[in-house]
Amino acid sequence: MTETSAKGSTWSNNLRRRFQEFVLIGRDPVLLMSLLVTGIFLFLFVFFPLFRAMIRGFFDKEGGYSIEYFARFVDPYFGPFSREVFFNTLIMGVLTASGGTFLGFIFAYTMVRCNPPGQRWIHIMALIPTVSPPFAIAMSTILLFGRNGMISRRFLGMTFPQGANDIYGMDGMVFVQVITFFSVAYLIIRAMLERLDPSMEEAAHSLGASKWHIFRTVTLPLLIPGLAGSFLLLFVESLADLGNPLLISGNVTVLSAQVFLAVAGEYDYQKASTLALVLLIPTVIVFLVQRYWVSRRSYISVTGKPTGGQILVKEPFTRWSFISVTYLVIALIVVLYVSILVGSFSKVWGIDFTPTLDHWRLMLGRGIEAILDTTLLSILATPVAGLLGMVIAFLVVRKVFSGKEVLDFGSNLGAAVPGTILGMGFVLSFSTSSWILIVALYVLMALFLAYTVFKGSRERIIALVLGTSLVIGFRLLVSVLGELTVLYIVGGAFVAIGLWYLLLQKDKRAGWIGLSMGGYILVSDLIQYVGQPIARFSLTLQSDFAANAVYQFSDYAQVPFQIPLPILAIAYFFASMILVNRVKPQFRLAMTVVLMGLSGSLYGLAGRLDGPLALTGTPYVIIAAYAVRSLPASVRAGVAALQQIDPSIEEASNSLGADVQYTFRKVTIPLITPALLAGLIFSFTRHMTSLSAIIFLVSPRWRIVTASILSEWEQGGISFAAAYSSTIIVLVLLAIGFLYYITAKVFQGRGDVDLSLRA
Amino acid sequence: MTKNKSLIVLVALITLLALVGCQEQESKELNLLCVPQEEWCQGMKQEFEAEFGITVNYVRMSTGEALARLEAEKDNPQFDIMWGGPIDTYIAGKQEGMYVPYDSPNYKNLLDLDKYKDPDNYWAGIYLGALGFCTNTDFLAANPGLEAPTSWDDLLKPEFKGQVLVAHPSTSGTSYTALATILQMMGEEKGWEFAEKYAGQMLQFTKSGSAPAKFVGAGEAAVCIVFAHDIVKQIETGLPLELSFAEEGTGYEIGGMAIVKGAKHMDAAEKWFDWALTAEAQALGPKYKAYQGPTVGGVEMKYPELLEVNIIDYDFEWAGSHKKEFVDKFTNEISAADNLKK
Repeated sequence: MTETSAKGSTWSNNLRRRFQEFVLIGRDPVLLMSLLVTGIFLFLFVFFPLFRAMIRGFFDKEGGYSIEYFARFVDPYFGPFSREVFFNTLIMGVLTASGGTFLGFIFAYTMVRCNPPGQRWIHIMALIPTVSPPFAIAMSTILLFGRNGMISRRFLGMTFPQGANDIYGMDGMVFVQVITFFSVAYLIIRAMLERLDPSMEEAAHSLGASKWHIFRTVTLPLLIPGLAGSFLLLFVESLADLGNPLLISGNVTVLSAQVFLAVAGEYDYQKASTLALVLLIPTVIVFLVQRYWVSRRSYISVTGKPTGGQILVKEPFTRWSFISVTYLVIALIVVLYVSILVGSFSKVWGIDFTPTLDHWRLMLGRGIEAILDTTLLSILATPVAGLLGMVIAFLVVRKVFSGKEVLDFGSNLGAAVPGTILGMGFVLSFSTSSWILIVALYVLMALFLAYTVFKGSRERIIALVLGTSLVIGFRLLVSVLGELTVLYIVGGAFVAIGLWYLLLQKDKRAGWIGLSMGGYILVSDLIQYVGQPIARFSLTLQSDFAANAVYQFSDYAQVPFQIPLPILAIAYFFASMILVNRVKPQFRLAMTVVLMGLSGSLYGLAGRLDGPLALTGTPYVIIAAYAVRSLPASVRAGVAALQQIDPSIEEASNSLGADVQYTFRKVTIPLITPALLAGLIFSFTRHMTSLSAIIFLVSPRWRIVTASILSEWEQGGISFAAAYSSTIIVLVLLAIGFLYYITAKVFQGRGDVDLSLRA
Repeated sequence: MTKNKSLIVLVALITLLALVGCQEQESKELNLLCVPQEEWCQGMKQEFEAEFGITVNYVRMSTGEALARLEAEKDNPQFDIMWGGPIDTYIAGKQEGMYVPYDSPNYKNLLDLDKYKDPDNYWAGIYLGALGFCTNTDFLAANPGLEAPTSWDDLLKPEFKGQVLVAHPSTSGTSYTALATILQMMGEEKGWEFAEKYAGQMLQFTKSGSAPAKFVGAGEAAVCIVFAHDIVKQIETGLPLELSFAEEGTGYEIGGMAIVKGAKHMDAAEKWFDWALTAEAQALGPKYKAYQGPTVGGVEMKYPELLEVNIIDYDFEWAGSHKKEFVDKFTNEISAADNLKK
C-alpha cells in the first residue's frame, strides 16, 4: 500500500517536474517555436502516416475488423508461400549485409592500411553507388550478365537452359545489393579503423605476436562494433530496397516487392498493409538494436579524425591482395556505369549496338516533364529538410528537455522504414482531410498563442474562447459564401490589420508583416492567372520538348504560393505573436482574438486544394516525403557541425546580452554553414534517387523520374530507362561538383566536406 | 503618400477579386490515367491538346496500380478519366463505384453495342487485341525442325522447357487473360492441370504483360505469350520475332475507358470520351505504334490479320468475377511450386 502510493507520488512528481519543464520551455519562445515546428512535422509526416499504414492491415475494404492476411502466415494453404517470402527476405538481408560489410571492410582496410595508389579516386568511386538511382546497378548487371548479357553471352558464350543458374534470383539480387550498399559499410569501418589506437597493435607486435595473430585477436575485436553496426544498417537498407528486387529477383519474391505489387497489382491495401507490418518488425528491431545497443558501444562518429599515426601493411603479398581486390571491384563499378551510358546510346541492347540518339531525343520529349518536376521538387525539399535537420540537431545537441529522444527517434524513423510503407501511409493519410488532425493542430497553435501572449489564466481563457468562436464563425461562413470568398475576406482582413499598424500605429515593421500575411493569401489564389497564360502559350509550341517544358512553368509559378493553409497557419500564428506583442496593452486582448480567429480560420479553408490537408496530387506531399527520407542526413550533418563548435562561444555571445535567436543567427549559423551546405547537397541526392517512398505519390501534374524509369524499363525498353538513369546521375554529379566548387571558392576550404554524411 | 499607395493597392486587389468572381469558365485541363504504353499516351495527349486546346496531364500506370490509385483517392479523385486496360478492370471498378455512367452520343459508332460497352454506360471499349505467341527466330534457326507454337499444347514441347516467358497474372492483365482463356477453353479442372504443366515450362513470371516480347526478342527466352499487337510492335523495332496464334482458339481483350466518379474536369473528360469513340481518334493508334483493333467502324487497321484468327467467346464477366480466386490459386499452387525454383 505504502509502496504503491510512494510510486504514485514519484510518478506524479515526475509529471509535475516535466510540466514545470514545459513551462520553462514556454518562457523561451524560440525554443518553443522550434519544438512546435519539428514536432508537428514529425507527427504529420512520420508518425501519423506510419500509424495509418499499420492499422489498415486489420480492416477490410468495408472497414470491418479482419486479420485475414495475418492468418495467412499460419494457414496450411497460404502458409508455406507466405512464410517462404518472409524467410527469403531475411536471407536476402543477411547475405547482403554480410557481403556488403565484408567488401566494405576490404575497401576500408586497403585505404587505411595498405596505402594504395590513387587513394582519392578509390574513395570517390566507392561512393558513386550512393548517388545513383536505386536500380541503376540492377539494370547494368542485367545488361552485362543477363541471359543475353554483354559479358555472359557475347564474351563467354554462355547459354541458359532451364535450371541454369542465371543472374535472376537470389544470387543476382544479393550481388546487386552488395554493390549498391557496400559504400555505407566502407565509410563506417574506415572511420573506425582510422580511430583505432595503433599502440595496442604495436604492443602486441613487440610482444612477439604474428601479423595474423594480431589481426585476429586485437584488430578484429576492436572493430566488432563497427562491423556489427554496418551489418545491421545494411540489413535494414536491403530489406527496404524496392528497385533492385523488382528488376532482378526473378521468381524469388521478397516482402518489399510484394508490398508494392499488392498495391500496384492487386489494389489490395489490406494485404499490402499486413505485409508492410510484417516487414516492419525485423526492420524496427534491427534499427533499435543498431541505435541503442551497437552505437552505444562504439564511440566513433562517421566524421571522426585519426587519433595518431597509422600502421601500414608493409608485407607485399597481403598489401597487394587487398589492393587488387579493391581495384577489381572498382573496375566492375566503372564497367557497370559505363554500360548504362552505352546502353542509352545503343539502338537495341544485345542485338544492335549501332549508336543512336533516339532514346535521348524521345526521353527529352516525353520525359522532360518528369525530369523537371523531379529536379524542382528535390531542390524545394532540400531547404525544408536542411532547416528541419538543423533545428533538430540544435535541439538535440544543445538543449535538455523531455521528449528529446522522441524527436531524435522520429527524425530517423521516417528514413529507416521501407519507403513503400511510408508512401502508402501518405496516400492513406492525405487523400482526404482528417478533421481530427486539423482540430488538433489548431488547438495546439491556439494554446501557443494564448500562453505566450498572456500571463493570467483569465485572459488566456477569454482569448481562446473568443478566438475559437471566430474560427467557427468563419467555418460556417464557408458553407454560405464558399471557400474562395472567405479566403479573400481573411486575406483582406490581414491586409486591413497591416494597414492599421502602418497608418494608425505608425509601426512600419508590424505593418509590413500584416500586409505580407494578407498579400500571400490573396496571391495564393491570384497566382493562377499568371500560370494560365503560360499554359496556353505552351499549347501553341510545336516541339514536344518545348511544349512540355514550358507548360511545367505554369505549375512551378504556383508552387511557392499555394502552401497548404494548415501548414501555412503555423507561420501565421508565430507572426501573430509578434504582431500582438507590438501593440499597446489596451488593444492586446482584442488583437489576439482577431488574429487567432483569422489564423485559425486557415485550418478550415482548402484554398485551391480539395480539403485543407488533402495533399495527394499536390507537389507538397512529394516534398514532404522527400524531406522525411533525407532528414537523418541533415540531422547528422547538423550534429557533426554543432559538436565541432565549443558551446562557450555561444555562451559568450549570450552573456554579452544577445538572445538565443540572435546568437543562433550571428554566431552559430556562420560557423556551421559549410557542414550545412554538405548536408543540403546530400539531401538533394537522396531526393533525386528515391523511388519507394514516392512511387504511390506521383500524380498527373507531378511525375517523378525514378517511377518513370521503372515504367519504361518494361515498356519503352532498357535503353530508354538507361537514358533516364544517366540523366539523374549527371544531375546529381553536377550538384556535388557545385558543392565542391562552393566550398573551395567561397569558404576557401574551411570546413571539411565529408562525403560520409550519407552513412 | 504611403497612405495613398496602400489604398491604390487595396482597390486594385478588390477589383481583381470582383473580376475573379465573375469568371466561370470551362476546364482548360484534363487529368488522364493512361494504361497503354507511354508512347501512345503521349501521342494521344498531343493530338487531343491540338484539337481541343485542353492541356492533358497524364500518368501511365499498369491496370492494377490504376485501380488501386482510384480506390485510394475515392473521396478526392486526382484523375478525370481512365483510358485503356482490359475491361475486366472496368467491370471491377464499376462494382466498387469508382466510375460514373456517361451516355456518349458516339456510342452509335461502336461495331457491337452489346459487347463493346457497359449496359449501364459505365465504360466503353476502345480497342481489341488477340493473344498471340512470339518466338525468337534465332532460337528456331538454332533448333532445326522446331516451329513456332500453333496451339496451347505446343508450349509443352520439351524443346521449350525453361524457355517460355509470360507475366504473372496477379500483376498483368495480359497474363490473366491467358490464364482465363485456358480455364475457359479446357474447363476448370483440365485447365488447372494444363496450367501446372505450362508453369513447368516457364523461365520466370515478369511483372508487366508486354515485357516478355521484349525479353524474348533480346534472346533471354524463346517463346512468349503476349497480345499480338505488342508483338508486332517489337517486330517493327527490329527484334527477331515470329508471331503465331493458337489455332484451337485464343483469348482476347477489349480495352476500355471510363470517367472517374467525382472528376474535377467533367466537361473535358466527356470530350475525351466522345473523341476516343470516333474513327479519327482510333485511327491514330498506328502512328504511335499501337496496333490494336478498333471498336468503331470506319478505321483501317495497319495489320488486320491480327484479328483474323480463331477467337473464343471470352466471357469477361466470368473472368472478372473469379479473378481474386484464380490469382490466389495460381500464386499458391502454381507459381510457388517447386518446379520453378530450380
